[in-house]
Amino acid sequence: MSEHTTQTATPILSVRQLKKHYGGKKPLFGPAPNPLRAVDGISFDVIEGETFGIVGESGCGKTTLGRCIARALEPTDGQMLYRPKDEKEPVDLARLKGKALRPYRLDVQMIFQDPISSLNPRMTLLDIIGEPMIVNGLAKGAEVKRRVGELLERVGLRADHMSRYPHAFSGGQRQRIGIARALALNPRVIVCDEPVSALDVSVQAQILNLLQDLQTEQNLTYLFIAHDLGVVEYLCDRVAVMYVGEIVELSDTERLFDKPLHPYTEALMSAVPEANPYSVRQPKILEGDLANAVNRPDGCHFHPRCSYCVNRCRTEEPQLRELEPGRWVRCHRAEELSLSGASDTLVEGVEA
Amino acid sequence: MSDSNTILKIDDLHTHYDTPQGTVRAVAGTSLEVHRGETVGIVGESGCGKSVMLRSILRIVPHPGRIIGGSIEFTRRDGETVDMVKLDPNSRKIRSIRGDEIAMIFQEPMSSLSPVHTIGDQIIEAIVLHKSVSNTEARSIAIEMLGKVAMPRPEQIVDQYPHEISGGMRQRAMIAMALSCEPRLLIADEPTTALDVTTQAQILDLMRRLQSEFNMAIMFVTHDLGVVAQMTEHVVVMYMGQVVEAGSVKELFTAPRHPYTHGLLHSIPRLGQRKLGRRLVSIKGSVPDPFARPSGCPFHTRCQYNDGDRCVREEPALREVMPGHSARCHYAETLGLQGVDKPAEAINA
Repeated sequence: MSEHTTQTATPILSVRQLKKHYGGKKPLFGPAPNPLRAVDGISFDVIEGETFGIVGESGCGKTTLGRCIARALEPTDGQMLYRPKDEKEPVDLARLKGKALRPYRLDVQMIFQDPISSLNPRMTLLDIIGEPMIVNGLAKGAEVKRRVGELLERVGLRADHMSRYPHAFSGGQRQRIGIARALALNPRVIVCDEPVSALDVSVQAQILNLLQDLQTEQNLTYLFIAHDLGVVEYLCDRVAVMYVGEIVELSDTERLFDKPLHPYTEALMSAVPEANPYSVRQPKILEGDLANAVNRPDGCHFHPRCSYCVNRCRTEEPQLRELEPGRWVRCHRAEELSLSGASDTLVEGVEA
Repeated sequence: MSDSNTILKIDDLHTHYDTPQGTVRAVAGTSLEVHRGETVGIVGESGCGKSVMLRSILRIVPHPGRIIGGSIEFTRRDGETVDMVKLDPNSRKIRSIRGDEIAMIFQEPMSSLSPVHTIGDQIIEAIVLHKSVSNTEARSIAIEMLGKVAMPRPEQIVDQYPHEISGGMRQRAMIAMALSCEPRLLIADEPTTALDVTTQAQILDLMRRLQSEFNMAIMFVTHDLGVVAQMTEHVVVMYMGQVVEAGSVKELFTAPRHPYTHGLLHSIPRLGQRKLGRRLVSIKGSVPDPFARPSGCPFHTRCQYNDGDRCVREEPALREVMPGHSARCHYAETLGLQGVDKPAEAINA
């Protein structure tokens, strides 16, 4: 994975100031209400062949961001510059609509969290995986069958299962079907929205290993959305941490987990219970709940929960800035704070 | 062999579901013990029978499930031992235990709280049902309990509806309700699974504090091995309705005796996994169809140590491998499975 991440590589996708707001239209009378800022001014680059992780708690906008990139949603504002394979000039996926968008839809596919609700129960696997090929004119007739069979075998199912319906499969197998469908159009980018969080513990590892193998074989680029930090650390090359619609920290995985720069990242990592009864992680317990995306706190949106908060944090909104090469953070005090990494909060040899 | 400290002893419990497609043995011979003030972790995947087992204790197994054998002995506050299996699920006696001496909290607080009653009304109802207090007194107990679970502004929250507060606060309200009658045993069915990791840390911290304050035993069901390692003293691993391994949390994590436990320990990515550079070890296949239970050892279809003979033919019994550590595997003594690393300092300690 990491060998793909060369700093000189041109990004396959550049997201610039992406916004997705809900509501906020001015009614006939009275002032306009505050919109719900699900995604509010997000910028990052994704390099071809890497796994770019997006973490955050529920309600932070990570799923909305993923859906905007797959263009299941239309962004309110901002750019998503995608560099197609043979064209030199990037295209802005945020601006395109309908027919103009269609050729690029093939390149960006999605794997969903819930393998039950994301597969049509009335379609056989042949229909589910074959339909996108037929619709996009990639294959027809016997060719469809042959390719569906190949894909099923590639994701660890049997080709003769293609006449069955999704209900005949277990959760892990259904997620494999979802992956085969995403691969049907030979995509370059796959948005994986919590692909293992609905699965049983014992099958999560199978799916994660499969995703890794497919990436190496087909040079896929993953946008990996998850809340499980263990999974993110294992799979991702670079990680963006989101809080109420904004990126608060962006870094390569190693440095992020070693020494986070944002207090929210620190709190997230310290809250993960360690699966070893001989080690205790001292959680930095956050007060209160996630900020409201309609009425966000003034200044730094994280300040009411932050234990390092000073006066400036209450009034002045911090900007995302590059502190070290490749490390971005949205915190006024990033330089002076010395925060604990994932293993720093771990106390070994203490009774749990 | 239950000593005076045992408050719950489940022996060879069988709970079956009769369906038109056949009988599902949801709980197929589960035995376990819970001691006073101890936290027992119950680990297993969906469909392993852990929720049915918990509901069997309170006799709230939904239709068409029924207990067909075994016993569940619970020692009451006054020292009387009752077999919950023999009680009528609608009797006055079981209702005086349910919610009073044994309380339960559920995974999804939104669907287990009434949306049309205020938080206060729901806690007060539990209190007046089990204690001889007036409504006004019950209300002040409810506010006090909300304070104990660290609910912000308890005097206001008591009059609010579940939809008005956040997920973490709802789980606090549910814990307040469960603890309002000071139960001896708290059954927690995945209490933090639906919560975010920072909220989970708050709730786990809270449960730890309350346990020592109330000196109650907790049965903590979860599939998160991190939570198990941090919260429990004793662990029971379930697979296909049976206990496959049981022991102290340290024994079980550092020297697992059943291949399933071993598989679970190594299939989750832990923080720091990347540095080790190890690929995840997965358990092959998935949980078998409950209607087509494998012969012999139920885990043999997925087990890498399957010998193809005895494992397929003969169902292993749960037996003590070491004092206080039992496993249901023919080869528990000889496999020499690797657990998590024991830090060097802990060996001397």
